[in-house]
Amino acid sequence: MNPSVAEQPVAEAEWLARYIVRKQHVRRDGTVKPDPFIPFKYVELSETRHLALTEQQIWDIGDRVASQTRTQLQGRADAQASVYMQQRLRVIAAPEEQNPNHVNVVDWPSDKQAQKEIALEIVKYVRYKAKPITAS
Amino acid sequence: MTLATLDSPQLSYGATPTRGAGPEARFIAKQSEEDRRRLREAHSIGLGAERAFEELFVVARECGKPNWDGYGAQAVQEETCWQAYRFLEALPLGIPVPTVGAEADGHLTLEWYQNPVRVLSVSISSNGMVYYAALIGSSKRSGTEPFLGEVPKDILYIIRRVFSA
Repeated sequence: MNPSVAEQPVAEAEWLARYIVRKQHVRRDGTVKPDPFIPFKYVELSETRHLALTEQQIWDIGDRVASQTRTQLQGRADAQASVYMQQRLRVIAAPEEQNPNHVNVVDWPSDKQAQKEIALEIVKYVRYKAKPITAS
Repeated sequence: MTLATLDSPQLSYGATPTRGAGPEARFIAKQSEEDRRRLREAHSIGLGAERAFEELFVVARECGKPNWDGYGAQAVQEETCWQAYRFLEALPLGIPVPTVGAEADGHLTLEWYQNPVRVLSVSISSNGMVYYAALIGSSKRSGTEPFLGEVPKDILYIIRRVFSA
């Protein structure tokens, strides 16, 4: 993980991960519900860019997110940045000490109805990856 | 919300608001309430409505504390659980059973899903406001309505459309 790399603007083709810590956010057919894509509380959505990370490093960051809730990481919902951009959202690099690859998806409408419409569109293109048993 | 509240004598499947003012109207309403309850109990066993109520209590328990999603989510409030419970109770017979979830703003969700382009998601807030969005093939529907004891007609229409193909 290279902080200087992570400060680069987010490209449309980049993959982003939204970590899933609740089983009920994943449907029986392995697709993801719109629920974890509703922004809160600053009308932003936190994501992690895959940029320059190994698969194991992506999972390690997810484990840290899950550890805050004292639960198990279930998996991650991956989507390209273009999926958000097509919804007129912006993806901004927002490196954090614990996660230099952190980004915020911003420009969400403030009303809930519109947020739900967008979240339903996003999840059409999301790929869910369950956490491998071997990854820790 | 605790599991103990499940046993509250005030709760029953399928309670419907009484509209009539006179004793006859109340009697008819009472009878239909009981018929409806019996049907709902049969329905819950046969078609899985009971599962939705169980899911509701699991989600309420798991998401009842702040930051339940690792991203700073708001706790699901007890009143939100009751609103969702009443919403489930108010679903007419024959309506497919939704799955239950939660959102970071503390709303509970009910989802009717056939595939990623035939889906309805309903969010229920603690003050009884209901927010919904749906994809039905290439068309979209969304709205915001108060929940006043009966499931909004537009939502029932969308549920049927989601499962019509």
